[in-house]
Amino acid sequence: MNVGNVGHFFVIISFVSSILAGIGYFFNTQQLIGPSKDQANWRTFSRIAFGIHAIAVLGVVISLYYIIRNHRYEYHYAWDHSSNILPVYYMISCFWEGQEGSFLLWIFWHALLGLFIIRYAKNWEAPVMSIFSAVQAFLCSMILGVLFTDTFKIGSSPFVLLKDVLGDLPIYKMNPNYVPSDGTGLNPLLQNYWMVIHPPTLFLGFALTLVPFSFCISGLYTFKTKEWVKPALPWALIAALVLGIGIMMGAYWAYETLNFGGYWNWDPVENAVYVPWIMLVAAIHTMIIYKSSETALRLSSILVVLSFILVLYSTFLTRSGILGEASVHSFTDLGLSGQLLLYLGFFLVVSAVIIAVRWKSIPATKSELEIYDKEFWLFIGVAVLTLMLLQVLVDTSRPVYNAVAKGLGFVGNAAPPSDAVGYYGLRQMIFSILVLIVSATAQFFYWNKVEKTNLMKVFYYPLLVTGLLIIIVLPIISSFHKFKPLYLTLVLACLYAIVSNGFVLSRFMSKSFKFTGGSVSHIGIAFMLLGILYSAGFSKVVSLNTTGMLISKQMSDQMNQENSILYRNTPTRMADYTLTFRGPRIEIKGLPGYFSKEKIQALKANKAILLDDAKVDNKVFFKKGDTVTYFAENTYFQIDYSDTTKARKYLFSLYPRIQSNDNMGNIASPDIRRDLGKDLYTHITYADDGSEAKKWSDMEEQQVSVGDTLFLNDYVAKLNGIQKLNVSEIHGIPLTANDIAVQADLEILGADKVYHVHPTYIIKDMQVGRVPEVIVDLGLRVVFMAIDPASGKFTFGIQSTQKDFIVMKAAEKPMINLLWIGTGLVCAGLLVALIRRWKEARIKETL
Amino acid sequence: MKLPQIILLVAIAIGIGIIVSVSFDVSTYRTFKEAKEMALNNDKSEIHVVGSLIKDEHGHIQGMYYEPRIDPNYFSFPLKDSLNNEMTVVYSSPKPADFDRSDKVVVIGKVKGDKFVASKILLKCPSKYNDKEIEKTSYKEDELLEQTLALKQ
Repeated sequence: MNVGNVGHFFVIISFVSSILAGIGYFFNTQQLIGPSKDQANWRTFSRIAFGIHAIAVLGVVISLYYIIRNHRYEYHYAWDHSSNILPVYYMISCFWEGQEGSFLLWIFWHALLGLFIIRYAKNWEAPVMSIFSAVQAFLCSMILGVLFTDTFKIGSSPFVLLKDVLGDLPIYKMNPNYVPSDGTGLNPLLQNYWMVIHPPTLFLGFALTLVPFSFCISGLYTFKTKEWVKPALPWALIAALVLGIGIMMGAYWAYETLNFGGYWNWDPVENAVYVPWIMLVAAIHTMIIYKSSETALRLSSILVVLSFILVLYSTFLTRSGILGEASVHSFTDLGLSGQLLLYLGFFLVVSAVIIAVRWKSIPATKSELEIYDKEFWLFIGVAVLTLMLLQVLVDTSRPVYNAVAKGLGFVGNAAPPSDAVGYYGLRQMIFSILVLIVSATAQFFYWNKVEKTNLMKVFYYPLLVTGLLIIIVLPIISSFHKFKPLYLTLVLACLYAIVSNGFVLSRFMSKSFKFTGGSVSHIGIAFMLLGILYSAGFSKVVSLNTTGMLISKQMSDQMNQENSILYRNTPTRMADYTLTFRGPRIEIKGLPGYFSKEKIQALKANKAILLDDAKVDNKVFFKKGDTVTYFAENTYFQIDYSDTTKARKYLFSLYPRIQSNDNMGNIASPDIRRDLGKDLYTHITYADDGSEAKKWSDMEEQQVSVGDTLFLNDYVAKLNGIQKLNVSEIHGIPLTANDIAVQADLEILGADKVYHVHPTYIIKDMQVGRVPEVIVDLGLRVVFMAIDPASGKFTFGIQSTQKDFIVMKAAEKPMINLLWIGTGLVCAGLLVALIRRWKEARIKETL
Repeated sequence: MKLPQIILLVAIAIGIGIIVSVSFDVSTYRTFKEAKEMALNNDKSEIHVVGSLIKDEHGHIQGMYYEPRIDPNYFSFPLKDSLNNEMTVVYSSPKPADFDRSDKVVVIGKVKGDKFVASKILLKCPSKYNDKEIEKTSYKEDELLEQTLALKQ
């Protein structure tokens, strides 16, 4: 039995055992709410079933990893997602690059969480695990891979053979046992350390949203309509924390790796994780209101349920292929739309029915809310959050409306917003301002008993400090940037949020640290929004093109001129810098820094021979002629930044990258110079990929004597001397005693430095050979054409070509570090709240 | 109804107002013909046009213009929409990497004069993401064919 069959067998076991566990736990739940009887039988049965399920899931994971790790390319998954040269840590990424693997990851987290709940959840085990098992059954069915007819299948197995997918290839007629020697590799964009940890974190976040959902539904079903909040709250907090970290990891990866110039693009795939997160945060707030004043229970149930349903909806959006043209990075469509829809529909209907049936027995909110009630302010906050996510949800779902319209026989042609960043950015900014103001105000009502009489007392100092801060800060910041009214409102809202939450924080800081979670998170959100506003709103394009915009000017007056051309070794002034493109570079394994791409002879399979010593600070790492391993897909373009003085004082170098991959094409990634106050972001927007051979001009010949001056295109050169070489070999050509090799020594004055050029003239076996020398920096080729012994003159042929160039874009992103600091604060705040609620939940019986 | 409830309702109403106003701002998938009509009617909204690139028998794209030495921010190419109407698309950015490998593109923008001025181009590369399989298959097929030939000899 081979590993694929073992894996597939485990998939089937995990599927069947999750169904059995689900049934078992359901009966166990019925025993719980019915007339009390001995429950041990069903519980033991279900526990065993879920245990088998967990073991089987582990088996599937190990089998799939084994296939990837051992390069078993007879399997489609290994062939499609990995290759021989991948380091081990990226093989882990291969695991979840495909849909099947990412489902598996999700299943794995659920199984682990399930075991945890069995161990600790006591009375909640049966109902919660019924839901867990049902979810697992749906997810396992996605990787089941059972074909009923040619068109009807359940799930897509990660263990199918390549032969079964591409069986029509002629090779299989010749050799049915054919196994490719290498895979097609991992998408180079995913070959990044963030991509090793981002997907597991995100999927753990998704998996964690199932826990509060399960507690909620369990509580409603088993008539514990109030009690579920206590154990669910810490789980909701940890879900928000992990999901939030996962989202921000993705954002940071996008910032470092993708070339759209930012960390967030409002792509449907991004929106699909943003929406459930906001919903979860709203749900946490209503649960907190319930904990403190026993209101908002109905709303809490709805929001908790919706946060999980939205995770399912996101999964449907990103994996069913419905986004199609709307997104640049959705998963490969595996034809699972029906199954995904069933999954979503099942839980939507089940939860809706349970909430509807129990609606009357959920304690209702007291009817009269006062403006001085904290509940009122929290409701406002939740309302704003809900509307905020609704806007994203409504707009991201446009492709769904088209599909629905088509299904009903209409034509749907709604396209996504043409300028997603501007479109969502503006709307979300308005909501963010409201969130900041409400969160800041609500804090006071939450922690104080505010009445009409003491209203002034509570707000006096915070408003005073905010006012003073505005008076001091505003002139300073507006001297740096021109603020639009909306931007200014956001800054003021951020200041107010930081000050008022700061007051709350300082009150609890010393005595009861555990109450600081909320204020720290809110301050974090304010910092994040400031960072976003500054880095996006005041991003300054360094590479504004001031020349050569002839055509664009004709076209339109408001055309983008954000890309500039840089010729090799030609310093070009841009904003506060002078930029010089130095040439293409590569990364050599074992060598710090970069190495010139022109000083290697490329061999196959990432090997190359060095044409020059590889040294760093005079320490030689590899010698000329050594064979080294390098990353052939990656080319880095060295751009030196210096200041704008005449001396051009060198500041730093950036190495933006282009990855060329046979399957994925060319992908540009930026390089970022990080300073405390701002980042300088540089990326290549166009580079000659070398596919077209260089066009050399017609040869121009010049005859000179030693010491004479030559004019090479735009440069001046001097013939320093001529030397006869007494060597047995030159440029790989063996020389005998009868052969002659003569080398010229030419000195060319470049813009930056002097070049010494040595074209060679050879007479071998009575035939003339000429070895030209190319000066890439100057776009010149010099050929030693002839020697005239009578006059003592030498003829050189000179050809020129256009210089290498790149088109690049550079922008400064001020204050982006505020975003990362804010992220850290939000996480810290959530963690403090989590610890507090965790302890509370554990005080009595359950977790 | 009391004041707080009114405030709550107003807040929700404002929010819904924002969202609804949004849905009237829907960009749509159109053709070049419609795009021209919109320009004549002075309709400034941006639309999406799905089109195919014009290629010769070797798969090379025809009529493409990009001369970064003259202007790095000017790229133009002819595009055929779903009704086979051809129009020159102008894009004020460098030629996207992988443009040569694309078959279908989505251009987002509006007609100006006799040209379609795109603010954004989305490539549908056979190699990327959704359609990855096709490209890989054909690529591997070649390799496998080579090996098949080698086996024959």
